[in-house]
Amino acid sequence: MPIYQQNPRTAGRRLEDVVFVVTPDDQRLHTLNATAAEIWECAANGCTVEQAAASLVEHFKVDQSTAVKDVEACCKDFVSRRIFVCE
Amino acid sequence: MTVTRRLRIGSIELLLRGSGAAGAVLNERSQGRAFEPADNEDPALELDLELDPSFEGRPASRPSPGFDSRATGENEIDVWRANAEGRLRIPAELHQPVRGTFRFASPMGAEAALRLGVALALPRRGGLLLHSSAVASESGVHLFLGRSGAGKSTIARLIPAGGNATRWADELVVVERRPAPQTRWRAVVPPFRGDQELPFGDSGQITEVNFLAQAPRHQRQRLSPKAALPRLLQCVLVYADVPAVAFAVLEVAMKLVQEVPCCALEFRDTPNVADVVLAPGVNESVAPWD
Repeated sequence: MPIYQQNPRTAGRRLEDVVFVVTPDDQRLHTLNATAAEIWECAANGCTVEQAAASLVEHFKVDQSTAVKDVEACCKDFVSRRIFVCE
Repeated sequence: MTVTRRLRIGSIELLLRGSGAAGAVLNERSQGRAFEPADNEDPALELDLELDPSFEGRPASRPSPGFDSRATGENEIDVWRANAEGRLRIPAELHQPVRGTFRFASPMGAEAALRLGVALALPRRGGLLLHSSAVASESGVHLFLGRSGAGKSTIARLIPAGGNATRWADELVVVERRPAPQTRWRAVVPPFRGDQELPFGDSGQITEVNFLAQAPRHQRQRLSPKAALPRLLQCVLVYADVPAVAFAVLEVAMKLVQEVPCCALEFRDTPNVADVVLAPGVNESVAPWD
């Protein structure tokens, strides 16, 4: 089961309901909306898709199966953007 | 013979060393009023400079005065442009100075190296080097941020023509956070290339930060911190290949947008834009956050 973690080569900070992440390798700024920010924070110390989905269910009006799909897509996107690393 | 100079830009101290002809460049640069005298504090930046007129660097893909860069280690980058190249080490520990060595073909290369070093060192001490012009009025320093072509020099010329303000900076401004009870955020005119009539070395409290766009009419709208942050980061002069630099820049930029009013300023090329920028109480009367 893959573990997703914030890329240690990035800088990220929450501001109000969004998170800003700088990926130094390509010098880009990424703005994460509220749900993406929740997933990003779940991955501070590493998390599975199921763990992040459980957090979305707890904090947003979303059912478990939808949350799992959304988190999977989000984590893959974050890996492609080098916001996350996957073990 | 090696020449060593301790100089100050804003609140950071620089230790510069140059041998041979580079020493002459350092002497020439440091004799002017551009630099404040140093206090012999721990330097935030240490640079060794070598002037070699026969040096031919690699051309950079970025437009002048930019450098290209490549990370060579966790905390180290190589930088180059047509007339200069160097290596910079940026320690993870913020109290440690940024250290660099540069070789360049002309005094312009020395200034480019210094500007780059300052841009990397400042965020580690609570400051930023911004693409910004500025005017000073009774209420403080008004900053106008934008990339090339946004109208920075234009508005710094228009406002003094239309209101009670003086042109203060054209292209680059240092901003830094000072602990209370001093001025919380102050701006400094850095001693880099520009109109010789600019008040290099002057400092003042920042009134507000304006992000520029040229438009058919004048209009100013207050921005929320989260709307202002991406705009601000586009105007920070820095090379962020090193994570420690990115962390420091983000940290300082977030504090700035949360503690200083930020506005989107649309303007056209007429002096009465001064009425919009300098009107008393304008910071209270602007529209609420978007």
